[in-house]
Amino acid sequence: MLPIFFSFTSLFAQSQNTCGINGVVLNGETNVPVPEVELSIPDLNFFTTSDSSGSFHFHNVTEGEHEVKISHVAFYKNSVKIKLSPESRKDFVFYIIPKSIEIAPVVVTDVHTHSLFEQHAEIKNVLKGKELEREMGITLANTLKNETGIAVRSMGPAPARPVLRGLGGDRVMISEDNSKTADLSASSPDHAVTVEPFSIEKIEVLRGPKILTQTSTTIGGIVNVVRHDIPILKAEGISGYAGVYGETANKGTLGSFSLEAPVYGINLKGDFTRRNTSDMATPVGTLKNSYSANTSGALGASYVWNDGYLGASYREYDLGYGIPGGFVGAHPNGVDIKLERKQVSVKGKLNYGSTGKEYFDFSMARVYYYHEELEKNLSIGSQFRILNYLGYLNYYHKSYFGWDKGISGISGEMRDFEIGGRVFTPPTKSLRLASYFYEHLSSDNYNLEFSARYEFNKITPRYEDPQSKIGNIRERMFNTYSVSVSGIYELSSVVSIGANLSRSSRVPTIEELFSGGPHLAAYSFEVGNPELNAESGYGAEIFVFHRYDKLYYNISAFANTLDNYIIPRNTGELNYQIFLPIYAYSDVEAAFYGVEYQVEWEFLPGFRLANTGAYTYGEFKESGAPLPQIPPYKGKIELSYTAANLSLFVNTEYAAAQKRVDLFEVNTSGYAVLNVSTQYSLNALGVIHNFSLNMDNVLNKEYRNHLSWVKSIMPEAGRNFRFTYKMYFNIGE
Amino acid sequence: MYSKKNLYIYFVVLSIIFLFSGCEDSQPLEPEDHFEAVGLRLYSSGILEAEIFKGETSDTLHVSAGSTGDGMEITFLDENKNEIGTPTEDGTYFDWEMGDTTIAVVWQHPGEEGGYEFHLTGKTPGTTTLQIFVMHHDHVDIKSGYIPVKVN
Repeated sequence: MLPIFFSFTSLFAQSQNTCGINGVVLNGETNVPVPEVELSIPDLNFFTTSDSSGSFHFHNVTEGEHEVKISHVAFYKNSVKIKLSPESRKDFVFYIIPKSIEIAPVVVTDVHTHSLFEQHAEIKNVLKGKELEREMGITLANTLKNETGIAVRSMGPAPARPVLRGLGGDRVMISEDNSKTADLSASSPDHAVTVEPFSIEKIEVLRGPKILTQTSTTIGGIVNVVRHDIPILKAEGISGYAGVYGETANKGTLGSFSLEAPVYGINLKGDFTRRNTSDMATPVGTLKNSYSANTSGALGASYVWNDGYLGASYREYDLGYGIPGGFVGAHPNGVDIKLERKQVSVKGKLNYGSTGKEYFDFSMARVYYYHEELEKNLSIGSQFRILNYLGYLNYYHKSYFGWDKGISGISGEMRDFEIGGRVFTPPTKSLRLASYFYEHLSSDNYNLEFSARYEFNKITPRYEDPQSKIGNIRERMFNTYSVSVSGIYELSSVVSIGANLSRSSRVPTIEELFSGGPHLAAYSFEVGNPELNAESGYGAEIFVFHRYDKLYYNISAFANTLDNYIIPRNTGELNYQIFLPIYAYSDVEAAFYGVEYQVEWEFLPGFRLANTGAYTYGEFKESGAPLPQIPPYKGKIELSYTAANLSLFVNTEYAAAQKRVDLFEVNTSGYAVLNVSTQYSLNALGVIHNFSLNMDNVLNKEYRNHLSWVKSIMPEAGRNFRFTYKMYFNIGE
Repeated sequence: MYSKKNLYIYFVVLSIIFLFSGCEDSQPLEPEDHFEAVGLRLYSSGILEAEIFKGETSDTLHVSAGSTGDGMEITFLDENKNEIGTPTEDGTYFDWEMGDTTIAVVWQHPGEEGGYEFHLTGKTPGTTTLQIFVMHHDHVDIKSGYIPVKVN
């Protein structure tokens, strides 16, 4: 049974045996009334629909027990049993849970969730519904680029990856439905993320103690995309979406659909997306060899019963894309990359006890990833093959030693990493085992979270070579631990303050340990360091968030220090065989400090002004010199207007110049780029149609992303029209 | 209705499918042996005509306009300037890039294309540059750097 709530107030009776029922239907997450909800009392054959204020009325309902069915295409269906008698007077308030399909834009000041932490996270770090459709880009990172504290590392439009507070690579884990996406995107700027954003329901940027149930790097974070490839709720009727997307800067087109239906008690779900883009047009020319083409799809099935669910799914993602040429040591015409990821997953949940608050949750996945880098004549320069087995088992418990709820769990990952072609990293197997716990405590005006994680890692190269050019290539083992504690205190009903302290750890990757050769697509000659130790560090954050009726703001400041911070640094030397710059992995002591803020103010009914900004300062602790690849101060200021189902937005994205750069790193100038967009929703015959039209870089301004590896040859996209249409439907039961 | 026993069977079947699911695992190429060189010498009839090491040279190749010079043989150098011959791995061959082909061009005997001997043919007086490559399946494995060429 879904958490659908109803409350009772006053009632009026029209006769001894019948009465009228009044009520209102509210969004369970936002408390906003929901219009056009279909309500029925099947045994009486009564039907009605909620009006624009969410109110509904049934006339002449007979005494006794009845079932009220409630449905709306954008919310999970359910039913409520009510008992009517002449003595009881009732108006009903039904709360229904959204499927993340929004009709009206999210009003930040109206968010209502179950805990202060969830409320803070929901406002700050979740992208879903219409906001997700408006920000939709060709990659996950581009979709997130305007979220506070997020920058994009790229080498052309296709291989883009999010960077959180100056931290990228392995320190930002990307997951789908809380299962890590096992690809090579963290290891190199030319490697793409294997996630298609169009078919996502919601994107969460996760930080804080709870992420230790998935990763040991508390200072970075997790970008989790929610798809529910394995349905976790009973499907009632056939539901899904169909959509198209297009943009002009790269002549990009996309088609996508999803379908979910119950078949003989089994919930079946499938989706398919196909996307094509050409070379990207900029204000100063075309970025040659920046095309991409990807196909992705999934099939999933589950059985859901009162005490849990069990299911399996298969997802495949195929991508071909170009890496532009024209760098020192690069191919004049660039390099082409083809990759595929195939994942089989099994997931389940089993309730324990009668309260529903205790349950086991598990997942297993087998991931096959294959990637080849091709010269223009189609000869293979590099090949990578990864076979990953991942799994976890969690126990969610209720009150325990003073904590209200928590999670205890174990997880494991086995990885078989093989390389071919002109790449010099030895084939390697790795094993990761982890155990962790997370606890949450709520009181009247404070929330507390605490978590800890221990990990054992073993990395075994296929051959050992004590005399290799990079050092002693041999098996390495690591034992690491991470801890995190967060607290939020409500100073008043509208103001909360909080803090987070954490100890973070990260084990070096295979490439960081054992690389020793040219990586042509990344335009570098990579030299690993088999002596690297695990990164470890401490982080601290304080924040205040303020939520009036019409005004919301959130300000946070953070400080992170890392010992053994592993980075590839340009040595300034060339490899004289191929004249590629040599990048050597080394560990340093690093510090990151920064500030982030979000403000949203409804200054007139329907009119909102919003401003977000983030600044990160990174330095080598020993010398105070700037760290490489640190994004400059960037933000967005936006004016919007919403009336019924139409919204209009005008915003400016801006960034300061970045002159604090590492040796051999290039400065970037500041910029301000104007964008406009509009969104319209139509609910017709139970089908929701969402339209988004964007014009990015209205003035066709030339600007460069500091974390783009191709910025020396081309700026970011010029004027770009983007169109998104998504249709959501739910048919029958 | 699904009993717990059916669910356990379902789970076991799923687990088996998961563990033995046969995504085709295409075998990657084995890592290739690599000819490593950071310089080269050009000999003509046993006489050293030019040497370039780590991209630097103080030598210039000379040829007269309208004529083809004597054959030059390439031998490569390692990090310690030891001569290490020429590559013998499958798929490797000699290639070049002449900066201005109106000044000079490279010529090889028919049937010997891709081998490590070549002639310079002067076309018009002037100065240009020659860069020598070791190619591996149409990809550059080794580059020499730029050697000046003067046509008298």
